[in-house]
Amino acid sequence: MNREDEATGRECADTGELTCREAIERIYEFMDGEATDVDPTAIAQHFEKCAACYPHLALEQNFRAKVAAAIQRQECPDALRKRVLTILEGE
Amino acid sequence: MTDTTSRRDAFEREAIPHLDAVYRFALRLSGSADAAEDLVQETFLRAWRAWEQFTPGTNAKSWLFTICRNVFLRQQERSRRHDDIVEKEAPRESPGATGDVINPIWSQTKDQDPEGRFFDSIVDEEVLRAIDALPEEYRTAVVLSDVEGLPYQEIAEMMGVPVGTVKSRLFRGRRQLQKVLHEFALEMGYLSKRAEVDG
Repeated sequence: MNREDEATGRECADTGELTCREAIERIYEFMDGEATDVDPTAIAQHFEKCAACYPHLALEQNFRAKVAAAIQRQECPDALRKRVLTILEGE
Repeated sequence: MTDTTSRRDAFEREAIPHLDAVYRFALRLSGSADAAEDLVQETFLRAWRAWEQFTPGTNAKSWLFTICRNVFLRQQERSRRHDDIVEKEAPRESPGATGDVINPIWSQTKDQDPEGRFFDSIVDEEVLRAIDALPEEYRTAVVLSDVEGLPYQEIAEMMGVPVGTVKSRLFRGRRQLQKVLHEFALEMGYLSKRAEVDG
């Protein structure tokens, strides 16, 4: 069974428990592990089953992966690490 | 074992492993390697002096981030008084406000790149520049959540705001960052500028 959903304006697979709008409204809470009012498993299942909603999740995941990679590439320089460790000697 | 040794052991075990994370955060806060190094040193010096105030079993990383941000904001406050420089501030926000449900970037790229693969073509330096251009409130929330994976509650406590405000800062910060990166991708030709046809 398919139905048109106002969130995507597209035909969307009826995944039973959540509408597209309900899933997409919670996309950040779901990705952040902070979905509280709805079972996160139901949100995960919606994105797995709904071809119209899946790209929304993929886009946010690709965005986040890029941000995390750009920042995490930077490590504390060795000289700074040594200077920080000398703090423990001094006091 | 003496008290001094166990204090030091505990600090080395709980705090020192977060050096990389604190350095990354300091870099994004201050925007320069020199300033970040000073910020990290000051953060660990204060943490070491105040080590007894840390509650064992809680998240030392959040505690260090809090110290780091407080030191940074106080420095900003001082330099602002001296130089009359006003940092770009986040627009007024109402807790929990989230605006459009559908990401406008998705609406613009759905025909040629619905899964946002273009993000991966962007060089890291450009991503960092875009992050650094965000107002501090958004930048901190995005870095702590997207990169360090801190829960909303811990970010809220760190920033001294309700959880709803953290959510709206994350929402706005992410969308603003995506907008800048999308424009960059268009300029660089990673995405074509042709008019989108609704399909």
